[in-house]
Amino acid sequence: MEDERQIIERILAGSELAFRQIVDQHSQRIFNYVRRMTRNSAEAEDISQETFIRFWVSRDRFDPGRVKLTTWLHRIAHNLCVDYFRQRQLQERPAPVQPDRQDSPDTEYELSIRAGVVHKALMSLSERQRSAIVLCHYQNFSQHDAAHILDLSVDALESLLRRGRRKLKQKLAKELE
Amino acid sequence: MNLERFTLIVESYGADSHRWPVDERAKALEFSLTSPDALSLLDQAAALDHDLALFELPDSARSVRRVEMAIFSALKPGRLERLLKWVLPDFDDLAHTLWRPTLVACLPLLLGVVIGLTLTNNTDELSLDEELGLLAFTDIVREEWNNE
Repeated sequence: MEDERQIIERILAGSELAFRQIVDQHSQRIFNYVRRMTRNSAEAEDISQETFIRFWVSRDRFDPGRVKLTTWLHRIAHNLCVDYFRQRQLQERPAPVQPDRQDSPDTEYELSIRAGVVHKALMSLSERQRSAIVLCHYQNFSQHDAAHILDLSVDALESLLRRGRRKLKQKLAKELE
Repeated sequence: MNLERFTLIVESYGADSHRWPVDERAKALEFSLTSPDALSLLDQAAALDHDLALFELPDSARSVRRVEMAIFSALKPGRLERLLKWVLPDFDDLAHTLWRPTLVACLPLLLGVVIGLTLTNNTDELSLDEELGLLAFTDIVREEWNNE
């Protein structure tokens, strides 16, 4: 079976078929990243689509010897998310959550409330803190790759992660107490 | 590895050692086994990791399919674009593609030849009925001529 390196070579030579293979392989992961960043499925679809189109149009700029394809695609997606936040001036404010305190609570319902609180707490972080946590925790990038996507040093990434997790912890403690 | 660095690692990357920096992972794991403070830090980080794991995305297969379809349709050229792409010769491979514009340029000429031949045939050749009619007319004329 053809490995990714060969597919990339064909893409760089202009093969649309090879590009389709890459879209098939990476679309779910890119969508998940954008979806976690934007919290809006329709916007996530638009940004994911634009990510791949931009990659195709400017494929000459991609250097497979320097960076992994998935890292490059996430970097494009991240930059588009930043543009999206700038354009929309999106400011997510966590809505107050009132967990239903019952004598015999439904475990699944409590779990969904808790998940909702986590979701809102994540969305309350700054875009940079959220992207650092999403990349490292949910997308499972190494600190080097995540730092490359965010165009940061590894130390700066660690600092972002630490502040982000600390803020999350405080918010969750406050919301779930 | 010391407690200060271990704290930074766990506060940044959480309790799952798979997310820790590769070059420090072994030493950090070793340190966690020897320090009670490290274990306490890991417990706190694990609680946050557990909460983060609750944030699952809903099934997005349809959305992803829509994304893929939109990308593929954006790539697909229109009919006119495809026709032009076929007609115009590839300058890197002129020997194999030059016949296409030549063929397109010859089409009006071929069409003219076909129309010309068709029209000529129609005027020169008579149908069977016409020929019979003409022969019959000739016979009548001859008969009338003989009678006179």
